[in-house]
Amino acid sequence: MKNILRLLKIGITRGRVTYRYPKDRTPVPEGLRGKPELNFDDCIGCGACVKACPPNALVMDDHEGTRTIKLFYGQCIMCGTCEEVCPVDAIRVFEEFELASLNREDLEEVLQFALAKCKSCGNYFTTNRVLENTLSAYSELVKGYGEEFTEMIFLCPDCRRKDWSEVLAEVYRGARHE
Amino acid sequence: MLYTEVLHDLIHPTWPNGTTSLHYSHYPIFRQLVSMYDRDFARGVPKCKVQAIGGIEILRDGLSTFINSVDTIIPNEWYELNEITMDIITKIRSKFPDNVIKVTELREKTHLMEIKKADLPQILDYAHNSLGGHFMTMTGTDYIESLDHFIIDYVLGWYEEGVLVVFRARIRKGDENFPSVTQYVPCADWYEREVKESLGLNPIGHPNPRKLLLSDEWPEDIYPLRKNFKHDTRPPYKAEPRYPFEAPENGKMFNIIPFGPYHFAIHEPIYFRFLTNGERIVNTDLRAGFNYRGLEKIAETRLTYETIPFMAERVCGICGSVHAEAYTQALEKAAKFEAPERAKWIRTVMLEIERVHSHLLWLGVASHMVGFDSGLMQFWRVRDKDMFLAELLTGNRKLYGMIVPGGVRRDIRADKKEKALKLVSEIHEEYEELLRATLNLGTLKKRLKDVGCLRKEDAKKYSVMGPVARASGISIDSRRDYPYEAYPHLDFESPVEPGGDVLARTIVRAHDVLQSIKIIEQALESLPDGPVHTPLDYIPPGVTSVGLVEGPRGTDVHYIITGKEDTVYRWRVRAPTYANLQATPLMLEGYTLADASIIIGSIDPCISCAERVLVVDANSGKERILSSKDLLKR
Repeated sequence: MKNILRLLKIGITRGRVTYRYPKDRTPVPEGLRGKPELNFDDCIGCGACVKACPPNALVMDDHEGTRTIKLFYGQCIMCGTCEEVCPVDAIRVFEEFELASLNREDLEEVLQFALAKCKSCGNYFTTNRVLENTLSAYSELVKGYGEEFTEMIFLCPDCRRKDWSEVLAEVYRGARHE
Repeated sequence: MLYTEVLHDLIHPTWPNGTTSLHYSHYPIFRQLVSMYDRDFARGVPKCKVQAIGGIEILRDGLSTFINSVDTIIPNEWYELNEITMDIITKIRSKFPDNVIKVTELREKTHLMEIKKADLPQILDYAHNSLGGHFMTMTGTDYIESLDHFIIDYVLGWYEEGVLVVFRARIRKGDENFPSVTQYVPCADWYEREVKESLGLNPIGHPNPRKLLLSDEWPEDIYPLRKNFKHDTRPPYKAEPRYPFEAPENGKMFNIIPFGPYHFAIHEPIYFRFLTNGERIVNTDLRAGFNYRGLEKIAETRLTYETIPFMAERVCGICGSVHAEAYTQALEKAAKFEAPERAKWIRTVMLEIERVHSHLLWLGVASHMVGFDSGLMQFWRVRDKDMFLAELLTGNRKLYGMIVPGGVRRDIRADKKEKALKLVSEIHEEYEELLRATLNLGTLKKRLKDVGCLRKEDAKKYSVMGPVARASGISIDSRRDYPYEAYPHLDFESPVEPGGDVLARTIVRAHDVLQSIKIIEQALESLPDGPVHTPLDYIPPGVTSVGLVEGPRGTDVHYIITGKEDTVYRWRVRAPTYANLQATPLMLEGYTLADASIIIGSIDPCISCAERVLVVDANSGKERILSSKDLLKR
């Protein structure tokens, strides 16, 4: 009996702790990992987030000169890995969590980027924005190394490798000659 | 295969010109072999009459290769083993001098013992029943493509000594069976059935070789965990599936009471089939695996080391961090990596927060199961404070995404630490107040006492884990016995109760919460400074590693074999419920149907879900099972 009274006391003194949810807004904790949002203006379309995404909610597709990056919230586990790996902070995790929708389209975000052609072989290999980003990031670094160094940025990885091995072979031959 | 063939096949192409791909220097037996080969080669024809060689491990193609074929065994040189481990290993070795092929030290107090598959039952019988080894996990791994064989590993642990031994046997291609150990070690039952259906390795002499995890519609000859099975394959459904439930003995009248798969008293789908005599449960049959999600397959084929922790967290809805931690621990052990100190302490805080909310959830649910709903409401009210604590530190109530290989993802700032400590003391105060009122309730005590007893011998035999074992008087706790993260620096006890009934399990859990609160307070107060994350640089391939974490339900065991290109070759999750659930039929026997839900509930089952329903036609008394096709039609 004593314990039942104790329990009763707890019930009365502690009171109600629940929220009437849709009416009362529950406080959102600081730093909640909620809906990730892609910002088209900042995004360079490098695909780092696509590689890092554990559930493949982010997918990338290159087709005829256009790169499409698709984010499907239905598959997103809100882990925030994409935010961590983004080199330009174009994908951010926000505290929004009420994503229920009747349309599948509402849960999709699609970005499209123009692809750049390799100057040597003419195949598409990366987006124009990635090249711009690389140029601006490394312009200081490559200063004074001559034009061909900057030119190399516009080559696809395969051509770049070929180019480099030629350069190296030349250097090697020269060294032996001397 | 004779040793000469072995040498020609494997070693000769690279030896003696280039030895870079062979890591043989550690293996005396390999040296012995090489010297024999040298001697014979010098004589002209390598046909020395050596009868056998055993246990040569060569790293070829980045995977451990085991060549221990042959007729008899050369005495091996033994490694200087740790004194305690030595004891267990020498005991086994002196008992079976001719059967143990080789012992390798994987890391301190963890050993890999290679044995022949024919010797499995007697060696495991001795290790489990005579030496008191706790059955941790068992796995099978497919090495068909690279090495033409399978390996099966039985992992036994000795909590008191803090020792782990992996018993490994090879199964050659074409002879895909092995002697079952279930008749001696009853807890191996499910593991061997799982190996049977997922890899097609047949345990001969298994008393109960029915399906376990895959659905009844799954065809017999397709094995999902073999490496040649693509993760997105959809095999054709078998027509008219049927699960062979245990039938009552002839001539005896029993009632069959189905319980599940969706039953309001058990919160996840599992199907119990009680044979009852009046109200008393005489026998229990059980069908599990209603939602086998194939996480391990996805991890092995599609995910990388860095992304698996997120999947591991989703193995369980309650103890997510425990799984992430167990996986991370196994990986870090394989890489011989130590996380930064601060990260270790934060991980400890996360694990304990999870234990508090899991136990409070269970106390609430258990109260509800016995009709004590104010208990449910009040325990859950206190639990919510713990959820706020988690929110404060990680941003989320569940699925914290905190524990990753290399450390943790978020630091605990000084201001958050103050708030957290305040919350912890509030939880402490409110919980103690509530515990005083509820645990002493006479009606509750009477309802739980002497219900669902599990004797100590049975608990040992079935290798139950965590609170279930501790409530049967077995003092095991991997936080204390296999120390990890910050636990060696913390002061705590793990409560043990001798009763073995549901009341004992309740008391163990209730006291566990107090210990966890104590740990959180200590860990937060003495959080060391420093970085919270340093990346792992290199993870060697082909390393076997076992991570043990004391989850709220018991020891969670993750077994991994590392692979090439940033992926695991094999990942096996053994959640504690897997061990505890096997012992439930024992607990249920002799009790009434009304007790069934609280007995099943008392192990805090954490099962995962379903796709089919059993329908009994009342007129004909015939049973019919609806397949997914039928369900879609309606």
